[in-house]
Amino acid sequence: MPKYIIRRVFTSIPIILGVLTVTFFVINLTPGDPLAMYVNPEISPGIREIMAERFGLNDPLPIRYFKWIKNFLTGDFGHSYSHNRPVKDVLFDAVPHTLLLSSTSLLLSIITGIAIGVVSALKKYTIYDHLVTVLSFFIYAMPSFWLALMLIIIFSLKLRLLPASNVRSIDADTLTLLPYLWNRVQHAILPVFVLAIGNAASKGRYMRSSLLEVIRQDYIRTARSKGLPEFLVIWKHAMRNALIPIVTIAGLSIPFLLSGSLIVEVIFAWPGMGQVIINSIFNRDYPLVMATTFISAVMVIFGNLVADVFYSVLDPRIRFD
Amino acid sequence: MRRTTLICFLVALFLFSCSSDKDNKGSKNDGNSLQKKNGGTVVSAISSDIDSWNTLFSQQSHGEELRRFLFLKTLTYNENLKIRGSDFRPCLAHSWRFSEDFLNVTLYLQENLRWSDGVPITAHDVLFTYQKMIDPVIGYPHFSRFDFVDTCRVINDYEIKFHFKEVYANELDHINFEVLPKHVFDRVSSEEMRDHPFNENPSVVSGPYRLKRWERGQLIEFEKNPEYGFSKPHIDRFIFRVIPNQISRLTSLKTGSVQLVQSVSPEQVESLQKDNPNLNMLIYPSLSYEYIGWLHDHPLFKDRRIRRAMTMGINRRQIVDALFHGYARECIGPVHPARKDFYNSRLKPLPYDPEQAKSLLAEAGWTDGNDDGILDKEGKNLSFVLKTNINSQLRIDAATMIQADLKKIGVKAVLEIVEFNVMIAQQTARDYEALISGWSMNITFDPTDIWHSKSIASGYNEHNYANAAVDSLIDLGRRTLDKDKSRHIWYRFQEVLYEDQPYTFLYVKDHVDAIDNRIKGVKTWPKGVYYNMEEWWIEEP
Repeated sequence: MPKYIIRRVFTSIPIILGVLTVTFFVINLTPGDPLAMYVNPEISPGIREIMAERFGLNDPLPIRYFKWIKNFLTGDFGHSYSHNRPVKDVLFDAVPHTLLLSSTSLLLSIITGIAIGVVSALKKYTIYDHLVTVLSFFIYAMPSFWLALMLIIIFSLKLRLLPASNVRSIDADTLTLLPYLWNRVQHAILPVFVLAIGNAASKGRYMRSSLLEVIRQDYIRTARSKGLPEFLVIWKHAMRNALIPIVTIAGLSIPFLLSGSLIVEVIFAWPGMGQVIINSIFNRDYPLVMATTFISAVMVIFGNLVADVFYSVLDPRIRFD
Repeated sequence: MRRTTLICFLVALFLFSCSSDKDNKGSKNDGNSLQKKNGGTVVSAISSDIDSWNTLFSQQSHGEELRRFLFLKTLTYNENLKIRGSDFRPCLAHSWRFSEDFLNVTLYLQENLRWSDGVPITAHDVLFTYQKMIDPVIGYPHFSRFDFVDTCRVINDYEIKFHFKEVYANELDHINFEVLPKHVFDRVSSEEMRDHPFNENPSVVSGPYRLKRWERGQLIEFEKNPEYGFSKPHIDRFIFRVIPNQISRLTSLKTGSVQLVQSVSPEQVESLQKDNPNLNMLIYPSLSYEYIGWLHDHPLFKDRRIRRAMTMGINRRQIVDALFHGYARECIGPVHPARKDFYNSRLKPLPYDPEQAKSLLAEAGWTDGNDDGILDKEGKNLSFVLKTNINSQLRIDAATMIQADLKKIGVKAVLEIVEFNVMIAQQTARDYEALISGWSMNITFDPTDIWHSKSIASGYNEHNYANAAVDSLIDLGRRTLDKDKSRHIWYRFQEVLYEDQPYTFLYVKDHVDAIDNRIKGVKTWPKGVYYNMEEWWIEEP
């Protein structure tokens, strides 16, 4: 296994470089002006030339590419044009906020998704199953910005139970540890819920169909016929195989841990990566676009690797060596 | 002009501007000095965070609004955008003096002012800031404001003299800037300044407040600056929460966790007012105007008759009413209505007159020969591409209404909605025929960068508008300090543009700000609501 992981890590290096190269040329060849923010009668027109020189935008594209690769290999992501500070600082500010939101909601969606799926598979074609099916499709089809706004109207505006925005209250710093944590939790409830619920609904559907598939298999019948209690049959024998598709999906969700969700972040004023990524693209902030692409590429590869490793944990027949 | 006459002139100017302050309809001052209470917190919601606390490196315009809490400028403005000294509002200089040839200005600084660490604020700080602002290594975004300045010299600790290369009407405006504490940067090179900790944590300030907390992307908190040399502000704390989404900002306002939201979208005003009697709506003209820019090299739009026909064929009043719910004003030209000394109020917006528009087009040879509803000339239809950017729903909606209006006079406008950065790039490359865009005007009135033909090559004249009369009026106006003469010049400038219709000027947008009605003493000016924040007070803090 360790050999396999090392091999996978090494084979991913050319993939990442390829992704970065393609991104570099695509974003640079896309029409648009990274200096558009300087188009303002209050700003001296000449500043665009000065900044173009400073950002190295006057060099030919291949030269800019090699300069970027060189800096990147030495761990220097460069200076963000729009934030006017090192790219790494911008990322360090945004990543913890996104990680908190996305990891909680991912975990929550996996747990609820599995629970919902298992229950509706075991109680298939009952009222409960139909109800969950309809509800899942309803929730899955619901646009998250609409759900977010509805929840804000209900819980913040009407019931005044939960805050509508930001990651904590203004004077949260003055609180002692427990009330402080509670304050953070209160601010996270709505965004985490919005992010989790759609995912939970879809994971529930996968879980249901995969478990239904598995409990029809012969070895489940064998387990039952040898007199094992039903819960052991399900949890020990059926679940291990039924979880494989969920692991694939969860592995594919890992990039989302760091990319965040633009809509939820904007609505709940959550200063995370979703906002950083979208703004970097709209502003043609090339260094920031490249850095966020790098992170996404690494996360996609990492997520696939984690999923592959988990397969062999769940199903010992799967071997990579 | 002798010095005494100049002083008389300035005094007269002062009296004139004082009297004209009263009729500023946008402002709201229900404060009575006897009842003003101290204390309390004002929480505002803002859509994006500040980029730098150092004026040298800040690119956004709303940064300046926030930095006003922390840093005094050399001079100040009244509500009508006229420059003033510290006798009027807090700033560093209490007065100034021009030399007889108007090539030198001496600023006289207040002597009792200190930085928040106790160090006196002197002319050396002003000189230091000026030197950094013109330093190409720094790359100060507004560096060209000093194009006219030849030298700057400290006379003594509280007198500083600027020498100009030539007489310039806005000499005072251009030497009005935020001043930085020299002693903080004593051994710091210009290269090092860009990443200096001061840019993130301005520990030494001169304004009414100092920065207590800054959580990037989330919150800014100001508290009173005990060393502030002018009368202390009433409100203890100002807090700004960063909330990018407008609906979330308004929700915070409705729940009371925020007391002030700027730039409420026009369609929200009515319901906000109806459901929340505790809110005051502050409505006053902003410095932003919208226009359709016609590319002047274009075979169609180099003809003035066609440009005039376009303007007259577009029902601008209807757009203002339908999209802005009345919270905008039709626009006649590039001079802001609040600039009372230059704004030519004799000019009225060209009327919406489709018949007149059609006859202008017919005069230019465009008639509907093939009877398909679109005018044509020599077998070619009167059709062009009208661009605007995707991020602004108001612009897209306006574009649709403009398209429909033009269709009625037989003109086919094909809409092309592009991303903002793409539009800017295409505008710079002159890769367009007509586009809807907007300018946020400068406080300093100098139309050179947009309207002078020399700015086609290096400036914002990206519509290739060249008119010798306009050029000479600008050249003359920007060198005329006499207010009566310059008023005539700028009146004429507006008349020429009005006749020529280089743009179709659409409308000046209003600021629409919602504020808790317990906050009293708020005065507004075209740059926003925080004009006199040090005089605000809360009824029950």
